Amino acid sequence: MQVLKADGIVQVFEGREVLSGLDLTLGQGEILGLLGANGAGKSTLLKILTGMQRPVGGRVCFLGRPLSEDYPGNLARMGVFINEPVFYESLSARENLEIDLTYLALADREHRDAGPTGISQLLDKVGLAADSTTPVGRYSMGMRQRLALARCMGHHPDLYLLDEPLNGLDPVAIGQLRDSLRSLAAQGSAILFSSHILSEVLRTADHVMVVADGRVSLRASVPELLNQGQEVAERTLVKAMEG
Amino acid sequence: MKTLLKLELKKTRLWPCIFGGLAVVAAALAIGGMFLAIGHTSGRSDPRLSSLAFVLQMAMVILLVGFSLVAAALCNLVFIEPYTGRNLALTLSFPISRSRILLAKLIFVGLFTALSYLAGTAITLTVMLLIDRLVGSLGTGSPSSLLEQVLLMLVTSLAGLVGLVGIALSIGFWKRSLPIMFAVLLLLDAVVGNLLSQSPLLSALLLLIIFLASLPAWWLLHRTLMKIELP
Ligand SMILES: Nc1ncnc2c1ncn2[C@@H]1O[C@H](COP(=O)(O)OP(=O)(O)OP(=O)(O)O)[C@@H](O)[C@H]1O
Ligand SMILES: [Mg+2]
Repeated sequence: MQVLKADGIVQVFEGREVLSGLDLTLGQGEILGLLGANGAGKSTLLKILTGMQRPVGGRVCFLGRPLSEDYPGNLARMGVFINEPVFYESLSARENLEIDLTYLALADREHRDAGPTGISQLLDKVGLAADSTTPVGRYSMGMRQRLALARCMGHHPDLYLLDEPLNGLDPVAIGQLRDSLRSLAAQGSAILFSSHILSEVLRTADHVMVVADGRVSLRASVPELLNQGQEVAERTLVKAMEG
Repeated sequence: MKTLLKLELKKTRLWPCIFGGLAVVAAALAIGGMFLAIGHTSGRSDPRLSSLAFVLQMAMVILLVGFSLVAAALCNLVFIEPYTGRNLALTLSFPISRSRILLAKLIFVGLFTALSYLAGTAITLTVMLLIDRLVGSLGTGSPSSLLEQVLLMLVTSLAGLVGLVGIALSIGFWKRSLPIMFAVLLLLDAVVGNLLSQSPLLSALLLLIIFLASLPAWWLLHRTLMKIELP
């Protein structure tokens, strides 16, 4: 089933067209890696797909219905990881997750039972159990990234929108994230994540999509790309990023 | 709504506002005490200065100005910080309709302000009346007219608080600037504080006018926050 479908997305900032008619589809259980040079518009696209930013043109459908129809209610079915995640700095990781899950529970009856054990499991999963009572303001960058990942996984969303989730993670955490994403996709979630680490995108994603000049300059299946070997695949991606 | 209110309470660092409220009460007592002393010494030369009603009114002006600052600080924590800069992404990520979240925030700020203002006023007036009894009472009219005047000032001050904070907050949010919010508020406070030493009825009228003038400001703020997007 189609989880996410975007048609002709246009976004303009200060007279400059950043996205100029971008199309995208994402199916259940699919992991799509989003690539593009700095400033290509990846974060902009992800913000638009969450519904928290409106494009100048184009439309986005989530689970078959226009995104705006149930905004912000449909955020309860998304796991959103915004680049440089923000928290309540004076509160602990546990308290931050409690706040998130309480809002989710208010929005959606299904999530009403996400109690303290659920939170402990989440913290354990991202390796923050030992620091769960430290104020988040004192966290390192990688710890913040881990907490942000915990936050978007707590409610078993249908769609993950992750903007550079690998940033600042250590190699072990990167490996764990790869495993998590694979198992989430195997359970049917759709995942769209952006990254600059080509090798990791090729290891994690089923498909890759490259944004250049406001459009999709390449969309390909990862196994097909890798047919010609890792090096050629990476070169193809870089070339597509140059537009 | 109860859960949403609890969440606001959890998210907000309320201690600075509570300490601020206590400082305002201390200031009101200090200045009220000063006017009590003036009333006693210059009692014969100026009958107005030496009336208890006037002294209490002065203390209540300080309370109004002080609590408007406390309320504005709280509004900064509840409305400006969450809806500006990077925090916006966090605030907008909750899957709850924005109007419900805004309503919860408004009730939260309103409850805290009203309760702390009423408690602060009760403490200040009680202490001042006690001191007045102890050191020998200033001239009063009938106690019932004094009570009437205090109640009128109390109610209109609450309306005035809503008004002052609403105007300053919406201008501050429009400019996305905390210093501008406080500058506007201090300016309004200075004007209001001066005018409020006039007759009680005139003061009440002025506060009601400020309240009414703030309604469009609140409405504009609401509209902006309902539509706000990630940059
Ligand atoms: N709110 C905004 N106002 C003005 N320009 C913006 C805004 N948001 C993004 N831009 C511009 O749009 C372009 C795309 O930005 P975006 O953050 O989407 O890029 P990106 O692909 O995520 O880059 P990076 O790899 O560096 O994260 C940039 O040129 C950026 O300056
Ligand atoms: Mg980006």
